[in-house]
Amino acid sequence: MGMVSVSSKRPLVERLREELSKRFIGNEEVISILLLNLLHRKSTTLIRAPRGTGKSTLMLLVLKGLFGDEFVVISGASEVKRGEVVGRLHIPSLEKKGREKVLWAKFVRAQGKGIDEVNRLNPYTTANIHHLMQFGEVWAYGQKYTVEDYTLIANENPGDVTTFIQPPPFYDRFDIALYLSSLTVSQKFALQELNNDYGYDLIKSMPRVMEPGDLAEIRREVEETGVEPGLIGFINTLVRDFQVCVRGKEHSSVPLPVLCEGCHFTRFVCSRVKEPPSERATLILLQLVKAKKWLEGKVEEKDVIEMAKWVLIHRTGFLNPEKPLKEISELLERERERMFERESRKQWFILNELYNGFSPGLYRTAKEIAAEDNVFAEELFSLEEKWVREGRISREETLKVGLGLE
Amino acid sequence: MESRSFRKFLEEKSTNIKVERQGQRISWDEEVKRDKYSFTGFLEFAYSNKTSGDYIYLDRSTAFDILDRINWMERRIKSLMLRLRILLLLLIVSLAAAAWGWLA
Repeated sequence: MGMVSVSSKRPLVERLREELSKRFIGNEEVISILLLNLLHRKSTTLIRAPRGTGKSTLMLLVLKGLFGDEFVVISGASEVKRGEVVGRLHIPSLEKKGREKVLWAKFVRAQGKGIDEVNRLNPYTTANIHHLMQFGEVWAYGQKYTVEDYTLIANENPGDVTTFIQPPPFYDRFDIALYLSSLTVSQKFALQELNNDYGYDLIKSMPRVMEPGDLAEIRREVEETGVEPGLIGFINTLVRDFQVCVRGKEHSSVPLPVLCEGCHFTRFVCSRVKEPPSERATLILLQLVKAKKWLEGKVEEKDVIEMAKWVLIHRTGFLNPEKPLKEISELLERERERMFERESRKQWFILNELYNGFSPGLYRTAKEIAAEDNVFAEELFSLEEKWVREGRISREETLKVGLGLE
Repeated sequence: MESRSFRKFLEEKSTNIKVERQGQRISWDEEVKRDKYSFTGFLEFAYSNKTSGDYIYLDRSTAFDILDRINWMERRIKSLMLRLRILLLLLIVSLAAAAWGWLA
């Protein structure tokens, strides 16, 4: 936990929160994380919800609040042409000068970008947007356009019968995926009152709360916010728990749960993760932690667990994918306990001591801990390699041999 | 490759740990919460529905018992898996034979 000085731009984000809360009923939990995710460069958010739960409304409210009317929304439900998403040829230049001049689409140039029903985009458009999100550029007619900082908000109803199945790496480019729930009875009443108050046009009533340079300044300040090594370690360990597999799941063709048969670590998170999250999860979590620290002055480990839900849910292939929200919540609850156990075991202290110098007694304790923690075991494996090379221990003594992994 | 920030993380995690150092030996106290049900024996842990303490201790003979049971269960799982595979194979063969007979 650490404190930072208060930025003069903080009230702008608070104002955005207020204006959103005045117009968006229910799902308060997602508003907080959505706001945090807007505070870093090239922010991308995916909103997933059933029909009529307000995913398009939320997307438009945020874009309007940040960019006024200067944002562009394309829709996967309608026929999107290349010229509308990437660019088209300037015909007079071609006819008069024989030169291929590209008129880059507003969607590419705008800082505020929205995609309605992203799961219905055709593969060609998806590929272009994917390239934009990955490399920060688009190509048309052999010419390249490098995009500046942007905010992209997309939405989809995963239950819709779609024309195309978007590839998982495309979804991985979204920093967070938010799930909205339908409204309770009292919330429906509140929404009806709101609609009356705002003349049934919530979007039009949303004011622009930031000037063009404000968001860039906020993002610069957030980028420069420092995070304590302990918290960075917490993020890295958390993500590693979702990635690690002592049996090499990443490069194995044996599916889960067959691969886990007889494994020592079957009760851990790893046994319920089919496809581990990408390294982007760590980067995004770090950005969110910086944003929270910038906005609220402090951030704690429990906040990281809360944030991780929205960062990992669309990046992780679960063994039980039927109810992703329930699954991720359960796994993160396990993580909360596991992190507590790690503290109680003083394992990082022991590892630090072993890094400082080999000690047979601490090595024995470390081996016992490693039998309870596969992430710690990995770190011990690499130290063991060093000790074997130095002749301090024999190969037969190592934990890897003890666990039957070598 | 050893990372500097990883070492920094380990050092930060070590700063508030109180230990006693005597030469190469390091020791520390473990806080054990004591209340009405804070038993630490394995058998009580296994058969009681009351809350146990944070740590459960095993004597060597109980540990051997558990190991025996785990080994027995693993052998049993292996043999059941083998039987399952044989039954599956038989099912496939008989389905194939039935289909062949129906086609012929």
